[in-house]
Amino acid sequence: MTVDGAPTGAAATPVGEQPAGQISAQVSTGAAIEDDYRPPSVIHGARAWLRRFVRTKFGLVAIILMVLLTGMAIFASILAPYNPNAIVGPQFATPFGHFLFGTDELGRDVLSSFIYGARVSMLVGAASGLLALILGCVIGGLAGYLGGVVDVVLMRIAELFMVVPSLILAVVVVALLGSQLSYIVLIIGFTLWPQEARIARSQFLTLRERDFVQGAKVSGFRWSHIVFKEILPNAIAPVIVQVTLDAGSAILLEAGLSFLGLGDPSMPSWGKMLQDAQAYLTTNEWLSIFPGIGILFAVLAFNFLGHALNEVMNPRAPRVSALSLGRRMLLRPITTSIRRSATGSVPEGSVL
Amino acid sequence: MIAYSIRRILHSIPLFLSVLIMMFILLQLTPGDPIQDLIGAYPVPAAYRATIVAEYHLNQSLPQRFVYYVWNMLHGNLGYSYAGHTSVTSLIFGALPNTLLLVAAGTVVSMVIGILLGFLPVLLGGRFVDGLVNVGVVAGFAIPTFWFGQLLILFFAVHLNWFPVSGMDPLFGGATGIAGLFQHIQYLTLPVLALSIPALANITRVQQQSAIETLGNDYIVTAELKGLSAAQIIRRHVLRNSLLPVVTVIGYGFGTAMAGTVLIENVFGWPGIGNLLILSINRRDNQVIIGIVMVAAAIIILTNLVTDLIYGALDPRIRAQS
Repeated sequence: MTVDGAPTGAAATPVGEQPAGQISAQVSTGAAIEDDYRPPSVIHGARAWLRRFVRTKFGLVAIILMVLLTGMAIFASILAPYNPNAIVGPQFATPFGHFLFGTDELGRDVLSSFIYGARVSMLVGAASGLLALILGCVIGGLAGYLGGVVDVVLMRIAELFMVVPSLILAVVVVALLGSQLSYIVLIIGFTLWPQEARIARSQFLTLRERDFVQGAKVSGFRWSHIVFKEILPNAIAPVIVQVTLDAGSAILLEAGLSFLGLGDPSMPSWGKMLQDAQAYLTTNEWLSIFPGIGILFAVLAFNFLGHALNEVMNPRAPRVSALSLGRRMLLRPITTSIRRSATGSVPEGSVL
Repeated sequence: MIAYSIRRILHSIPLFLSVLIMMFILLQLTPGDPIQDLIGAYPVPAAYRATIVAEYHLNQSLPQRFVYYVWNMLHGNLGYSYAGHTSVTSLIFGALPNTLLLVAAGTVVSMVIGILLGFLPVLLGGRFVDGLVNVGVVAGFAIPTFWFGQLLILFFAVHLNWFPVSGMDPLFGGATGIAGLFQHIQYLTLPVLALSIPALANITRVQQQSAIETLGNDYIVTAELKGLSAAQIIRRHVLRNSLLPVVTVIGYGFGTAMAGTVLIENVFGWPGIGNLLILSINRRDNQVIIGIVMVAAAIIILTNLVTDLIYGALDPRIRAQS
């Protein structure tokens, strides 16, 4: 999993990939734009893919955070020193004493609640993201592939979901229908899919006109082959990137719901801990600080993952910072600017 | 421009109707008996039930009831609050000005600071500034606003004692003049800061990208070849053109703030519709809940409309496209 541990120069090294030193040198010096562009190359094998992933700006941090948080969620019962619902000490014991994160208003161990809290957040992030991926691909794919009236109707529905803000929609639905975790996952997934659908739609829209798809049609392949074997594998990369970023939003939404007292009451969650902390904010600040850090890092983990995936799956994504470009634009000699505009290698649309 | 405006206005009417339908369906799916809620924890007399059913047309078909619902709404009647014993309209419009003050201030703050921050790396140069802004954007997208609000309270209200911990001074009838303004600002500062974070991050990012893209255009090269100075290029070409995409994001940011205010109002004890929403949820006051969503949706649709109209007015290309 480490950069150095991977056998460099192995047979799996993809064509066109540059040595690690060169890449990091570019990142640190912000080299000229022509050099920042790496030609898209076919990545052979999972190992080479992983190596490239780790070398992206956020790749390694994303993997470390994900492993830590997922491990915390899965092994919560082993890692937590106490039962999160049990009263194990005095009220409001200060942190870094016998209890690492202190105790809450009932004398429960904050560290144990914190560890168990990872479960809800990671589960909601992954499950709601998956739901948004499926819904977005099906609805966006249908709209883009079929076009016409179907497209108009489906995109209007997507627009409707985007008008009512996710949080308000989720709050109302949970308040009216109930706050089991399964409901929360479903509702958050349902508020996130329009983004994915829009991306999937535009992908299907352009891909269905491409020669290889037309060729498959002419060759008499069934629609299922064309959609699942020809279009979908080529369309899915940007949708996955968006889903990973939206999983972060899902975690924020769940935390918000729990903070408002609308989370699943049967499971400890960081948002719920923040709600409890609100009443004792002025006197016992640690109750608020630890769960907040948990949410922040869980969201960061998914966001970093999304940025790194985007960099690996979309090699054309620019790695140029505003500064390097801006300063170059103003300081460089005229000749380079003419050459640059002639080659037309201007980046567009980045995640960051 | 007029044709574009009319098209755009007509587009938002079915959108609002669909939100209405969605909320109506949701209300139908809600478990529980509204008549029982109305009367409280007593058995409902059959005669009383019959009166209520007749009065509220509960025995008619769903489409008919939907028509009544829309008809009432058009007359400003959003229903009756069982828990508050008053009309939903009066409850919502009592709290709405406070929320609008918060959201509008948040939008202005995120707009001004976001545009400045997004442009800063281009103007100043320097790797440090650029890195700092980027870290800020990443953190701004990931931090829960309500937790950030709590941190602000901890540091600026509890530790430094610069601002009040929570609450709001009355919008009207408090201190007047400079002292009154100062007091308003004192109560507003922390909630507005917490509320503006997500929109601020978004606007910064879009402004930064847009500035980069603008710098890559051929007309910048032309301006350079004409012999304009860097300052002139930035003022005349980069700034004006790169601000265009930001306009749409600002409109979107208003919607985000409208949602975020539910959380922020609860952190800061701000007496707006967000607080009312949570109060109504705890009291199972469904009419008020739906009413708040309708009003929020209407405001957001209206803001989107205005944003699109401004965008169309600023950029002729948009008008021609649609």
